[in-house]
Amino acid sequence: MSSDLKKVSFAEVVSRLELGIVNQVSDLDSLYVQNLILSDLMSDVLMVGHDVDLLVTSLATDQSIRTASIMDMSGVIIVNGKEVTENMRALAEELGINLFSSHHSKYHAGCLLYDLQEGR
Amino acid sequence: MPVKNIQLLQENSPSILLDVIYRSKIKDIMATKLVTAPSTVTIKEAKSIMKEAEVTGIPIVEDNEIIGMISIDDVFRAIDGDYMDELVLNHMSTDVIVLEDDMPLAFGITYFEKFKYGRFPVIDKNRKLVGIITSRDILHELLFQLNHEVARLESEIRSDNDPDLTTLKEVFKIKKMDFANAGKASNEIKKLLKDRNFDPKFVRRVSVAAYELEINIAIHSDGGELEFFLDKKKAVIVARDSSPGIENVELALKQGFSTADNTIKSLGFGAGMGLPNVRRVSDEFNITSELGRGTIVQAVILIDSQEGS
Repeated sequence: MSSDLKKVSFAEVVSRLELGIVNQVSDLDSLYVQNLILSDLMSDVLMVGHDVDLLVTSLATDQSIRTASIMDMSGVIIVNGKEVTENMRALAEELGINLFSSHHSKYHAGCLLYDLQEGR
Repeated sequence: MPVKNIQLLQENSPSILLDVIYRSKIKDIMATKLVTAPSTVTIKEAKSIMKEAEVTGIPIVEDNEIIGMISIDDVFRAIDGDYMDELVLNHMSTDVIVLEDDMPLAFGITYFEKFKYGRFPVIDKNRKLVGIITSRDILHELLFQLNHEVARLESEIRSDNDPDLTTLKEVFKIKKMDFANAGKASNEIKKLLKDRNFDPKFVRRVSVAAYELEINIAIHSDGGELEFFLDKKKAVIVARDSSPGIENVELALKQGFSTADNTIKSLGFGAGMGLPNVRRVSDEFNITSELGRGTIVQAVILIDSQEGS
């Protein structure tokens, strides 16, 4: 969540975390992540006062997509290998959210993202 | 003298009140049907005149000019002193304080505060007696004028809510536990604002408030409505539900306090952050709740607010 971290492209994130692309609305090479939040508690996400680009969550419900949209985020990664429903995909499409799935745990996904942003 | 302690003429008095007391003139308020007596009547006769006219004091005049006042107090003193048959000339007050008919009501109020009289004779610029004014007349006028002003203000407020003046008004129905649709209303609201090119920070604050309130209705109530208003200065979200109401509103506003069960928690909510978060993003936040009757939350977000988030 710190803004000292490097901007990385969504394409790099997809590649490093071996993400499944569930819904793509943007050119991932020119879409960047600087601030991200790892949380399963949507109220915590809604509490954040600054801009966030990416939500990493194990909450596989519509509300993750809706929360990301309310907070003007570009993408959501559903971790823990949780099933992403067709409903969620359709909602992500409707709301213009890039939606990804990951077999990593939330913690591991966070570590990988941190390394990426640290330039490692 | 009821007007005495009201302290209407304060620096911080509402401007409407000051308007009224400076706009109204003594001549608009005073009684012009005068009951007077010459100085040659006895106190007993003066008492009869007062009784007949149902007044508690009369000006004593000579050639249309006031030379004194006789009041019911003077009559009581005459009864006590047993001089009811003497002429009023010797017992009237002669240091009569008068008001001029062109003075604003404010002067009248000041006079009643300053002097211990129940009534003041009113003269015109030729010093002719033209009326009499009592504190009761002033109260009557104040009530009449304020009543009028309040009615005018009320109609102004109504026209503020006029559909022609409100840029936008939308009402969304929210169903109980309908998580497939919870968030739709907030998304609509967000779209309405985005389409109008509002500052993204403002849009986000409104959206967050709307979303938290929408989720609240879905998880805590038996269903309700989310109303959204937009005018040139602000967005207002009103969340209204019919039941069950909040047992302890103060507690509900504390971060981390929650009555949510695990179903709700499994949806990413119910951590006791909702209402505090709505309050955080709002410039104005009101909540009323009654057990068994429901809850109304109003969040106002100003378009050019200084709030950071």
